[in-house]
Amino acid sequence: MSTLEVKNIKAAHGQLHAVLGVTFSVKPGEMLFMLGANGAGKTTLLRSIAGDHKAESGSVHLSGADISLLPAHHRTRSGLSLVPEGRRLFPQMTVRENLLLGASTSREGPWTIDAIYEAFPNLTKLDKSQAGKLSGGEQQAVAIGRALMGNPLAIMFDEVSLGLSPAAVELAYAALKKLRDMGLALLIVEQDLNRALSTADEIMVMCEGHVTLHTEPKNTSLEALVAASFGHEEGTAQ
Amino acid sequence: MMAQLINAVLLGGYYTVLAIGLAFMYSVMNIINLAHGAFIVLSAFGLLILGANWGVPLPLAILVMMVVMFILGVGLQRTVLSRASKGGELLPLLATFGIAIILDNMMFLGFGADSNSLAPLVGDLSWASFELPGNIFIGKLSVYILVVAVVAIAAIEFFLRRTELGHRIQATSQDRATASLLGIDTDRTLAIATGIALATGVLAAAALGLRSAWGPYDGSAQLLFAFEAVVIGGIGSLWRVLAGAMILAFAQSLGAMIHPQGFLICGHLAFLAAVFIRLRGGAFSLSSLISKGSKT
Repeated sequence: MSTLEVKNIKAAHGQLHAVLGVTFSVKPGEMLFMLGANGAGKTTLLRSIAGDHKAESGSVHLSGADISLLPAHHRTRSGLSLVPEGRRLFPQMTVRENLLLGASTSREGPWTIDAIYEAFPNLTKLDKSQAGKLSGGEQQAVAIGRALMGNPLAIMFDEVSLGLSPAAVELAYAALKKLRDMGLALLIVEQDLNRALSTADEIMVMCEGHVTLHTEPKNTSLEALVAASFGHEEGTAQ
Repeated sequence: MMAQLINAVLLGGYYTVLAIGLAFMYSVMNIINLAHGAFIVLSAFGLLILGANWGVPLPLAILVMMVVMFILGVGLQRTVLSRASKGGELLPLLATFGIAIILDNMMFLGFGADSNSLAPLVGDLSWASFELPGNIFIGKLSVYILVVAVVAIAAIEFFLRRTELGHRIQATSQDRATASLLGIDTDRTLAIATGIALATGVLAAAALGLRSAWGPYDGSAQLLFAFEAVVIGGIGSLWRVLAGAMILAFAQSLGAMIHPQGFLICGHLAFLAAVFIRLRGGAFSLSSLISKGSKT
C-alpha cells in the first residue's frame, strides 16, 4: 500500500488555476522527485496536499486513511509533514526550541532531539544558537530535523536545495537517502534535473498545472525532462 | 522631590499593570484590543460582586475572576476575533471598539452610574503607608501594585520563552501557516493567548478598583494610559512596557510639578514625542513597531 496517495488534486489562486488534476502515489521507502519550471504549480500542489491551501477537489490518503477534509495541523498529526520553501524556521528561537516545536504532532516514534543530533552532528554544538543566525545548510538541517521530530510517515520537501552551497546540498541529500532507507515516503520538489536523474526512484514533471511526464530515471533522459518541463508531452504522460 | 520621584515610579507600576494585557495581545496576535479597558472595568465589577455581595476574600476573588475572564477570552477569540482577523488589520480594531461600546453600556445598564470602590474589601490597605527615612510616606497599595506588575511580567516572559505552550504561542504569532504545518492547533493557541490577556486584566481591575473610585465608563481612560505606555515602550518584550509606563508616569509627574494641570498634558506630550521619534525611522520607528509580528 502506498503511504501517500494523491488523486486528481485541483487548486486555484482566485481565478488562476494553478493545479489542474494531479494524481500520484509514494510508497514507503520511495523517493519521488517533482520537477518543473517556476509557476508550474508545484508549491501550490504541495500546500494543497498539506492542507495549507484549500484544494478545489481531489483526495489525499495517508496510509489508506482519507485526510482530504482535515485542517493542516491534523494532517501533520496524521503523519504527513511539509518542509516549506525557504525553511521557515523561527529565527529568534534556538535550534532546540525549533526542533521541539516539531514534536507538536504528539506522534510516537524514534525521533528525539538526541536522535536528530546523531543524524546531523553539525547541529549538536548549535543547540542553543538562534536559528536565524545559522547558515543556509544548517537551517535546512534544522528544518528537516523539525519535520522528523513529528515522527511522520511521509515528508514533502519544497525546493530542498534552493539557496544552499553544493556541500550543503550533498549533506541534505545524504540525510534524505537515510530517511528513504528507514522507510519514509519522500516527495521532493527540486530544480536540479541531474540530481533527480541520479537520486530519484520516480520522477514527475509538471508544467502549467499538469503532469507532463511521470517515469523512472532509467527510462528517461535530461533532454526528455527539459522538454516535459516546457510542456511537450512524452513518455508515460497522463 | 524624592517623594515625587518615588510616587512616579509607583504610578508607573500601575500603568504597567494596565498595559500588560494590551501589549501581550498585540505582540502575540497583532490585535489592538480597544475593549481592553472595558474588560478591566468588567473584571472590577466581577471582583466587587464576589467581594461585597458574596463575601469572597479579594485574593480568591481575583483567582476566580481570572478563570472567568480566561474563559471569556477563549470565547471572544473563537467567536469574534478569529473571524475579524481574517478580514485584515482594521476589522479586529473595529470589532473590539464595538465590543467596548456594548460592554460600557451594558455595565451602565446593569450597575448604574454609581462610583464604586473595592477598598472596603481590604480593610485599611488602600490608605495604609510605609514611612521611609526623610519623612516620606508611600502608599502600601501602590508598592504592592508595582510588585505585582514586575512579577506578572516576569511570569509571562518566563511562560513565553521557557514553556512548550509559550513557544507554540510565539510560533503561531510569528508564522501561523508554518505553525499549523508543524501540527500546532493555531486557533486553540490563539484562544489561550486571548484568555491569558484578559486574565491579566483582572490584576489591572484589582489595582483600579482599590486605588480609586470607578464607574462603568472608566474603561476608555484606562485603555488610553495602557495604550500610551505600550507605544512609548514598544513591542518585543513586556519589560519594554514597564519602561514605557515609567516614562509616561515620570512625564505626568513632571507636568504636575510644573503646573497643576500639567499632569495629563505632559503625559500626552511624552506619548506624542514617542510617536514622532518612531515616525523618523530606525529600529524604534513606527513602521518597525507596526510590522512587528505581522509576518505571515
